[in-house]
Amino acid sequence: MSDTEHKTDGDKKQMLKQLRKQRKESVARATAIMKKSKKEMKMVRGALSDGPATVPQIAEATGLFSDQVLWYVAAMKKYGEIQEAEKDGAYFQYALVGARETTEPQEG
Amino acid sequence: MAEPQVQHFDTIVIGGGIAGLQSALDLADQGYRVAVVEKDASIGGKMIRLSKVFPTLDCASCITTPKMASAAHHENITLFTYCNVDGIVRMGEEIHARITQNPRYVDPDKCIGCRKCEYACPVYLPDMEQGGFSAKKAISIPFSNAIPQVAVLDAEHCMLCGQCETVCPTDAVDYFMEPETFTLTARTAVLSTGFELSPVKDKAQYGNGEIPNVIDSLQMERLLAPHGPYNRVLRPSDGMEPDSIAYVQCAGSRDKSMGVSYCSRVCCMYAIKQAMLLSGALPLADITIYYMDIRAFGKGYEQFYQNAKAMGIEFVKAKVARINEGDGGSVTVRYENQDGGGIQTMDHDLVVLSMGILPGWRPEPYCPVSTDSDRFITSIKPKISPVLTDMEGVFAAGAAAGPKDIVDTISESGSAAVEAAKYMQASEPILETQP
Amino acid sequence: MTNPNDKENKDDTHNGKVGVYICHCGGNISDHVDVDKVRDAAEDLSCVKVARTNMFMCSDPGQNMIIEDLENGEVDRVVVASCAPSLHETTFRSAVERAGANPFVYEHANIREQVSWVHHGDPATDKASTLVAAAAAKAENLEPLHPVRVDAFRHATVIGAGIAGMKTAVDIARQGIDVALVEKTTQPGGRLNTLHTLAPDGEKAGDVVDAFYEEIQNSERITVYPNTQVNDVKGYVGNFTLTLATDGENGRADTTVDTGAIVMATGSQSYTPFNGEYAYGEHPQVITLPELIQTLAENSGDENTLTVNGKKIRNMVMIHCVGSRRIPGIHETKEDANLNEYCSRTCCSAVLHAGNFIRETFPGTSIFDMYRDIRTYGRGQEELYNRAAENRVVFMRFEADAPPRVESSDTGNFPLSVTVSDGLTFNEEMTVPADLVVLATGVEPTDISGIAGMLKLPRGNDGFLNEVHPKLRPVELPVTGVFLAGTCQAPMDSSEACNTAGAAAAKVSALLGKGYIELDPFVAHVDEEKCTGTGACVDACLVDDALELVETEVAGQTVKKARVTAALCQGCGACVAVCPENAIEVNGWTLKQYEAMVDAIAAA
Repeated sequence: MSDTEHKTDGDKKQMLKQLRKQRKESVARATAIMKKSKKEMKMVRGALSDGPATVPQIAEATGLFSDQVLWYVAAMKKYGEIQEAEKDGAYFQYALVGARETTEPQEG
Repeated sequence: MAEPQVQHFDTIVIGGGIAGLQSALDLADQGYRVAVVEKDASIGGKMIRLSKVFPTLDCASCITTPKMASAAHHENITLFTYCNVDGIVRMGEEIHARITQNPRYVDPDKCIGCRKCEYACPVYLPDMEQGGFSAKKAISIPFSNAIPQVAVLDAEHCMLCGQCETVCPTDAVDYFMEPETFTLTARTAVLSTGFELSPVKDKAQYGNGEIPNVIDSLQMERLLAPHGPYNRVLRPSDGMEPDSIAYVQCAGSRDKSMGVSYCSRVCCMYAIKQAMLLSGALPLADITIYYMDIRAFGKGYEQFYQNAKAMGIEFVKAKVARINEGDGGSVTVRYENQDGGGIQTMDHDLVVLSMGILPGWRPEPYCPVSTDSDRFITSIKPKISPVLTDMEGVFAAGAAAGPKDIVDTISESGSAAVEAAKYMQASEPILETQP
Repeated sequence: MTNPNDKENKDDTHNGKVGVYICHCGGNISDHVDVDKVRDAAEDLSCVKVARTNMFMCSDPGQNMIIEDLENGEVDRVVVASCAPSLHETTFRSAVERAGANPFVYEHANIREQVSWVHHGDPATDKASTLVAAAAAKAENLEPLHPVRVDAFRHATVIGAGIAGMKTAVDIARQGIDVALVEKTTQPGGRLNTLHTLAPDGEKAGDVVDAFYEEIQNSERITVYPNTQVNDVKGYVGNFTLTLATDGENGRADTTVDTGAIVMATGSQSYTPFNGEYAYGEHPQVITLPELIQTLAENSGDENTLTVNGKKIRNMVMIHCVGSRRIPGIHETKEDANLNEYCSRTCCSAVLHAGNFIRETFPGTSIFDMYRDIRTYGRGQEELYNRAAENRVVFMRFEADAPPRVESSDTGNFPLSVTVSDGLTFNEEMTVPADLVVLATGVEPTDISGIAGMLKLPRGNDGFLNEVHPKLRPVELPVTGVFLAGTCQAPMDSSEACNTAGAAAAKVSALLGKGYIELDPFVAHVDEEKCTGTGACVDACLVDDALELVETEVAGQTVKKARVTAALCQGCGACVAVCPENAIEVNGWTLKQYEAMVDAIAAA
């Protein structure tokens, strides 16, 4: 195991740079995943900005596949951005948690 | 956190699921020093990932966490999580296990499990702990009651953006961590390596896992778990609350085409249990179980089955021939009704495949212990001590020695513990228990 | 035996340092109880210093919250509000102990089974808050207690010398603990002595018995008592005294055995059909599977056709689930007899194993197998089923409410006919002429009312012994120090019986290995200054010898005082209720603690 504690900040930056180079592929893969989800979660947020909506409604508003929307909704619910709202027919609506910043993990 | 190169124990337990934990606890309570080696980042095995368990409908967490906690805090038990077994051999009087500690990229001695890194990480990935239905981050705690509560970084999906390192209050993140190898020695070993579900992707007639709203039984366990991905049962294609749910029994068992000719022993009961939980969660839903024979053979199981029938769960004796994608997210099940109805089709909102049980670990080429034609570890005395393997001082417990339910697994694990203790008493008696 | 709690406990200090920890139970509680509200209410209580919540209190982070607060001196009494104490009370006590505190300054509030699983909405939250308030009030009055330590005999008694009992005895003895193996018949071996070969691999039953026989006869640590029953049990865990009654040539002889633990391995017996059940008892050619197995041993393999009762068997019908899987309202039994709703687990494989043997040895005998579900669940058993199909055993499936009808017949020269509505051929009614009908009779527990009554062991509706919990404590009975192994618990095959035997042996070895046992301290405690020796408590006590009056010298006078034998005391409190002087209390459940709880509930 490398012991980073004895390294200076400059050394560490250098080493991290080296590591990024080494892991070029996985870093690129992760960055692509991050960019895609960032963009699409923004779309989900946008679809909910006017009020609660169901997964098919969000899918229609965003053009995303409904299974993907549900996945984002579950993820954003887990990390405290979205909460479940009233049921509408066979579907539940989801709403943004609002301005209040939720820091408590909801679930693991 | 560097492990000493060689560490000595009385028993090495391979696999920290319910079988391994029970064997470890039973040995440790008798004063033996036990190492538990687990491939996942948390102990608990399949059981901690279940919702509730038959036939008592206790929540699985409630039964498993006490055993996990007792093992973790037992003075005679040492846990080695997130470790691979590279080899188990007998050398003279000792068993030697060569172990690789996979890098967590987080120092387990420093991590306090606060999850600040997880919140800061910008990379969302499918959370396989939740059947893939929800997300985790590239750095995360495996699940809320994981032991140990230490974050793990997925280097394959890490941007190396440095955010987790920045927010970590204890400087636990270390991007440069490398795998480490070390050796455990002991007088005995218990193989409790558990099971995996037979993969849906191998079953062409059932859509190779590509039909929306066709899921496997462990995924359904997560949908039913109170802290599951949606906190309720929804179908994964669009979040609809399903009105009609079907179980296809023997989806990966009693089926030579899948290479699994044996009965997987637990699927009837877990399907009935899930059906009961579903009828509690969704009182108006129709629940159908397509089956060949209902095998409810354990204590209280037949009564459990009869209760399920009385609750209105429909049992259809039929072999499901094919599953197709239907309209609007529905799933079409085509089956041969064995009670005279001939070939029939039925649409459901959600279909659960009761996949079979495969061994979780193949000893070959890591360990010279024999397996049977069913690929589970061979018992040399199946009638009087099913835990005895053909390797001296090495015992098998739980699903590693053939599919079995939790009740049977727990008694077998106690049995493996007593056989290991007998073996050690015979070689070097400790009639007075060690302190 | 020592009871460190017998010294005078200091009065408590009311310092208001109770910590309250409320569990979400991953939604099990928090879906119905507003956990944050319960925490806020707890924070307002004067006795409570901190109140916190966690997704799973039993997880490491949850336990660590308690440990940190104790270590920092923030709190000195702990309440966890979560599931039933039977699941996690010991978990949290040990967390308290790991923090360096006495494990008995802990109180548990059950807000799952007693709240969230039975109430919803505001009433659920209110009740949870009330239970927490009561627990906190009690916690503030808790005193440190110490387990009652008793010496234990390094000796165990196994009752029943079938396969499970023999295996248990051998496994315990090999851990260096002496064993008495008590068998009511002349021979060890149990039901295996009546079997021929075993499914699915065909091992000889006799060989399986022999695997243990020599060791139990020759081991220095095992004493076998044949023709013996347990006549009396006294004492408690670690210190039982059994009276064994042995029938011998010169009549009955009693032996006394001091033993630390008892393992019930009393086994099971084959169900006997009632007269007229599938024509059993009315027709000599209707027999049970065990009876068929006996005749297999007598048949030579030279013939082409099986012979039973001197008759060549051309067609044989085997009927499953006789005396098993009965459904109330559909099936009937004789009065007094149990309905036997359970599956007997072993009969399907036993039928197919016998069927394959007959088809492979006597090809002139045809077999018709009438079943409800084929339950060949175990390793190698599905192969038995496949082999039976290859052996051209004809399978016919019937429903629970339409069992086959067995009747005397005069058609052709077959003595019997069996009519069944066959689910495998579109429920067509079929009549099979038969020379022999074999009933696959299930398993019933042996009659153990004597010993079960003496030890007050719980049995289920099915008559089998009930373990404490099928997963948490599967081989333990609620009477501490009494365990179970094998088919006295439920039907199982020899492999499964041996596994439970090994598990029981592991528990006995761990219990007796140290030579002493620690028991919960929740036992009666006499305040000798207040005690006037009325003896009311002794009369009220429900357990023999747990309470007695002893003479003692006080200021030169001989007076009587009550004395508790802590290991026998169940902590029921019957004595507390009758004492005119309030001189006897149950540790951990004192009147003062109860008053504090009642006040808290009344104030809520």
